[in-house]
Amino acid sequence: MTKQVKTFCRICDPACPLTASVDDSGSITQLEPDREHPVGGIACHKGLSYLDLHRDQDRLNAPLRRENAKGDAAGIFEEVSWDTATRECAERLRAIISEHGPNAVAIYSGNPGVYNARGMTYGGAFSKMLGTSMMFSANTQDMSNRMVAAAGLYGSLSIMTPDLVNTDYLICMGSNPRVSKWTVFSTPNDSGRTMEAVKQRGGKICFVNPRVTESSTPETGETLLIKPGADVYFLAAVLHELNVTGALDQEVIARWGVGMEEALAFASQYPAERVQGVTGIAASEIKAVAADFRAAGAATIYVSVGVNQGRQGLLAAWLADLIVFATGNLGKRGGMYKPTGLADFYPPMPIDSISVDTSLGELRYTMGGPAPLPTIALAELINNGDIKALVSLAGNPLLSAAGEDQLREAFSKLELLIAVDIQRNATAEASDYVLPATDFLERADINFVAKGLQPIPYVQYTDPVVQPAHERRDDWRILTDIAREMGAYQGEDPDGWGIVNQMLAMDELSIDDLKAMPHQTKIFENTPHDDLFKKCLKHADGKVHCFPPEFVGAGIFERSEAIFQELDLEPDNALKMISMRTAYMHNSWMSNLKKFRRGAQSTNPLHLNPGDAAQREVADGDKVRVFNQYGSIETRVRLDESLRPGAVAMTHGYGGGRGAMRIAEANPGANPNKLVPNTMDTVEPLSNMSWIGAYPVEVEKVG
Amino acid sequence: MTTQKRPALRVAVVGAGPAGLYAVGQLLDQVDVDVDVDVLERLPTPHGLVRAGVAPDHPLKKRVIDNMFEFYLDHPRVRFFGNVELGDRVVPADLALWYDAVIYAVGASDDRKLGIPGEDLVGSYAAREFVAWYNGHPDFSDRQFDLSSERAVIVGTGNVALDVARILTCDLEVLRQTEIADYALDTLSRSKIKEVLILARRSHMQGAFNNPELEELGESSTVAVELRNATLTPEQQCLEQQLDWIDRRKVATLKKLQQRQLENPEKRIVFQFLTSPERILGDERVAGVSLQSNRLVGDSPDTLAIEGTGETTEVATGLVFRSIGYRGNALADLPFYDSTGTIPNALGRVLQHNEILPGVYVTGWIKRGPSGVIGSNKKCARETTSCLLEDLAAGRLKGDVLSPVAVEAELRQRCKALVTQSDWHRIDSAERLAGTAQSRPRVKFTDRASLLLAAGVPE
Amino acid sequence: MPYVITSPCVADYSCLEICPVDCISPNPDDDAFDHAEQLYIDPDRCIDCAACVDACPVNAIYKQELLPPRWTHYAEVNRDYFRNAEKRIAVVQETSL
Ligand SMILES: Cc1cc2nc3c(=O)[nH]c(=O)nc-3n(C[C@H](O)[C@H](O)[C@H](O)COP(=O)(O)OP(=O)(O)OC[C@H]3O[C@@H](n4cnc5c(N)ncnc54)[C@H](O)[C@@H]3O)c2cc1C
Ligand code: SF4
Ligand code: SF4
Ligand code: SF4
Repeated sequence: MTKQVKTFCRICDPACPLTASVDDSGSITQLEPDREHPVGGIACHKGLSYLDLHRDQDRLNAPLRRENAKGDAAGIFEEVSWDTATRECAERLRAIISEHGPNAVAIYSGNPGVYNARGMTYGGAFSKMLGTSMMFSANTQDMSNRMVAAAGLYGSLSIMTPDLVNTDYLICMGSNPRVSKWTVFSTPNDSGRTMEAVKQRGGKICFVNPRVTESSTPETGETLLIKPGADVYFLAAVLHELNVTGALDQEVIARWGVGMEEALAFASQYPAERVQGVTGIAASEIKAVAADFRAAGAATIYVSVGVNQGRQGLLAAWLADLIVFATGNLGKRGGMYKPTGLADFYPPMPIDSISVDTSLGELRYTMGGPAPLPTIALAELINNGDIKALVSLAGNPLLSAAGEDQLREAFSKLELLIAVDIQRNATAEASDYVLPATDFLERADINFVAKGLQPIPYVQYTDPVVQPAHERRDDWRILTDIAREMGAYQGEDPDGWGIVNQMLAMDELSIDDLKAMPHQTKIFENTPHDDLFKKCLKHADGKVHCFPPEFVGAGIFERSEAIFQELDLEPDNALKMISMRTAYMHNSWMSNLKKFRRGAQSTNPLHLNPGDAAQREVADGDKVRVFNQYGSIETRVRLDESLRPGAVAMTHGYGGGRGAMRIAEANPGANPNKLVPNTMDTVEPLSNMSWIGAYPVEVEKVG
Repeated sequence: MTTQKRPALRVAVVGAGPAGLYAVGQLLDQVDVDVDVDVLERLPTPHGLVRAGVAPDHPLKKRVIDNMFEFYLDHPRVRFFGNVELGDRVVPADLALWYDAVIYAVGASDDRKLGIPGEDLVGSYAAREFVAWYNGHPDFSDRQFDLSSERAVIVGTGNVALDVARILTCDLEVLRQTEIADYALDTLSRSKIKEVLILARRSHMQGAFNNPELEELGESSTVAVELRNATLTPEQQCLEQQLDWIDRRKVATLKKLQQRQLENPEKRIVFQFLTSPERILGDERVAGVSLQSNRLVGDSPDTLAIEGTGETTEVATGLVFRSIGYRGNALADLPFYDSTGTIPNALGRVLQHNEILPGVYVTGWIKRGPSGVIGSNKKCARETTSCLLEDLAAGRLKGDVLSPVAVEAELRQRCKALVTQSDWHRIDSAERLAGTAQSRPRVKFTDRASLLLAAGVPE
Repeated sequence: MPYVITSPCVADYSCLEICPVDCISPNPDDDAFDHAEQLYIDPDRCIDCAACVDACPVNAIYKQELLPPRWTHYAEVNRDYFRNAEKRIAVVQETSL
């Protein structure tokens, strides 16, 4: 007899409902989309293939302690008991803290930790228990700009959500939702139907991207092929054009905004005619976008990772929201809004309120996990002795952050590197202790991170579908055990739901209530769209800060003009690297699944426009060196007409150094992040974002 | 946590066509055993019939090279040694000494003969030769095909026959955008052929072609399709309804093709069913074919048979292609079944006098005969590599091998002008770059000398 | 709308190996595979995940609505294969030429 267990996927934002079949022996035999879930959606192949990861023979099963020198590429590990691992980690952390202070322990949270309610809440709590402010996360690789933009504009971390279901016009920038399934926006996977529906009801989507992605089809909309890294100027030109054509909603601006004049003055520096060279989009096209935006009943903008990574993600995110606000589309049906959901409460969030004194001077950030210190600083802070220990939670900074070589070298100097993970990834391979966590099929959870980002707001609980195999333990427990052993935590929370339950209590809910509901799911009622003004505006004046003084203080507007001039002078044949999401990789963590590593999928070629290739006398399949001042990698070329000239693309998450993940190691691919600018002067102020997309590279044939 | 692995298994794959390369892919997929593979190929170029057989106007199918096979060859555990003909300076006995296991995947380099008088006249060829020629196979690039007659006759109805018919009637502008050999373009541009007559021994319900290839004939607006002898007697009418789905689709397509009204067809392809060639006519050169008509007997699709009617006719032509199947050749002293043109085997383990030859395997056309599509070889190779891995696990592979370095030294000593994977990449790159300039996927080098020159390998 | 396998298919079953809902046929483990001209997607079970599109080495797979004009009839061909696999009765295939 197999039994069916309802659960949900925790690979990316949609949190798609799943049904797992479990046989008598307690093994999962199949994962299927849960077609009966009240919110709908159909899980994609990544989620359904998670079963392969669950069964992967190369998974971490027991705590490991390193036996060889940390600088050695491959770890030699001994299995130790949890008691030993916990005790030794605790002792060493305590010793480091007592000698160097709590900030000598840094915490790096990887992206999967976000889809793990107790892991995430206790990850944050763990840093407080240790007393460290040395917080890093994958967010400065992909989206902390969105957080800081919201904090600047609204005074809270209320990232707005485009109302795709009702909009008449969407500018979709730096995103490939068909493949990436949206980010910072959570709706069970619909295989692109929401986008198709826009066109079907007479609306329009304008994709703005250096590549015609899988999302841009005759059924959805066309793409304006923008030069990589020029998004800010495109948006500024659109805002300016809207302004000069009288398309702004003066009433809304007067009622809710302050600083709009200065913002418009900034935009006026970038009229369509001036930016057409830098953006590669003709002035007439930009004006047409503004005209469409204006003409639409309700219009909205979605900016995502491609924009976030382009060195000015903060300004781009700010401009996107600003355009929506200034045209009266904020809080409007079909515009941008803030859906309700669990713990529908947005506390004030001052920008850059946390400060850490380091050898690099004072470093500031906005909020621990969501908008932390720049990952770019990590290697230098270790080298300089600021950081003595690093705890990596569901992270793989070696492959997914900038500068693998520098980080590798720095990691070897750490007194202590602890990796909590489900796989022995490259970072784990370089660690002193590797602590095996549970995968999502072994772990109870709620879809916590989706809160406030769902068009249909709901919260779902899942039991562990099966009990953890081997010695694997939940992340929250691993952390609290270490903290307890250190004497830094005395709490009593046997199931780890304590912090989550506090949030649920705001909605008069509890984990136990959820367990009793059908599909363990509670659907919330959406409040009116314009509710957000009350809910989210948390500056002391209760207004939208259209020209946030913190931005001015950080000099990002001058920086923007300087970058414009730099781009303006670039030669026509300059190449910029952008990242490319594929259906068979997910950051660095689908890499040990055989079915995702076959043929062309076994590695990550450099995608190159045929014209750029011809100029460099490079043919399809040629082996090339891709390089810049920061590093050099070799891979093969894949000619790709979907790219605009000047844009080259690779999928990240590849690279070697994970010998225990045998399939990944046999097909390592090349790590493009070795080429990412990795000096502090390349970091975007305030957002602390790495310049991990749209950076210059050159390509030459080898052999 | 540290696992003790046996030293890497050393396997040679002979023949770099789909079957050999799928075998490589499957060996690379192993996680519990590391496998090092050397691929030995008689041509300076890999990819077998995908490069030299699949029609140039089917560029998508050739993408299997870029998306699959090249990734196998590029793998750090794999070495390619082209321009090594097994049976010449390197023989199976050498490989048996050098490797733990050897997989023969040499394909079928001969063809079946009609066995009728006149078959050897000038103007009578194997479709195989014509296919290799237009695809720029270096062993065939110096052939001459005289296309000055108005009619070409093809005997056989397989996909190869349709490929040849299509190329002979294809719009030159279309072919110019393909990787077809330049000399073939030149010859085809002077072609006088107006009609391609396809002779089918059996009925229109028994075509050997596949549906996609047949349907493709309908995409041309300048080539008409005509059917002869495709009407059934009233008693046989019901047969068409009893066919299986695939064959019914073919029959429906044939009828549609015939019913098409083209404005000014420039050329035509005629399917003449129930007709066998009896003799190829002519003194030195082909002048025509004498045909015998057949009749269909039987009352269900499974029992249909053909019998000769004794009626004969003649058709004038200067060009006859037999396209009734490829055929494997014996390789050195390896066992060989002459009747099937294959190496005797059990699930891929080579048999000699019904005994398994340890460590020797076959896959692809030389194992199962010339049938199926490219992907059929993947299943075929899977069967073979599973046997190999089973034998490994059971301790049936001998284990003492020559080191990779020593093997390469041996090969270099015995074969001049060895082409490695990076040499092949040089050829590939040069061909593609030349293609870019002409908006073609590639412009092929078609003789050994220029291939080796492009490879940077001194002859 | 489901995905559809078209004429360039070389039956290398890469798509089948990655399909998360096992809706591609025939399987190489079945005898039917040995006579298959191509593989087919069951439109009633396909979940539109597009995983097969990337896996296909010859770009033979398209979303139904985005089929190139010359291959639009493959939507019916794919569907028909499953109808016939179920009933083992032949249905005349309307190919568009
Ligand atoms: C004209 C034609 C068109 C086709 N079109 C299609 C199509 O459109 N779609 C499709 O799916 N399938 C097609 N096929 C079928 C497909 O090409 C075959 O299934 C496949 O190539 C067989 O694989 P193989 O590896 O056994 O043989 P081959 O591809 O012939 O490979 C054998 C290799 O071994 C090498 N070799 C031979 N002897 C030696 C030796 N002594 N030493 C070293 N190397 C040696 C050869 O040079 C060759 O590279 C076509 C076949 C032909 C003939
Ligand atoms: S879309 Fe994301 S959450 Fe949904 S199944 Fe796929 S990977 Fe999982
Ligand atoms: S789209 Fe997904 S579900 Fe449909 S056939 Fe392809 S892999 Fe299978
Ligand atoms: S992957 Fe492509 S070629 Fe292979 S079987 Fe599937 S559709 Fe056919």
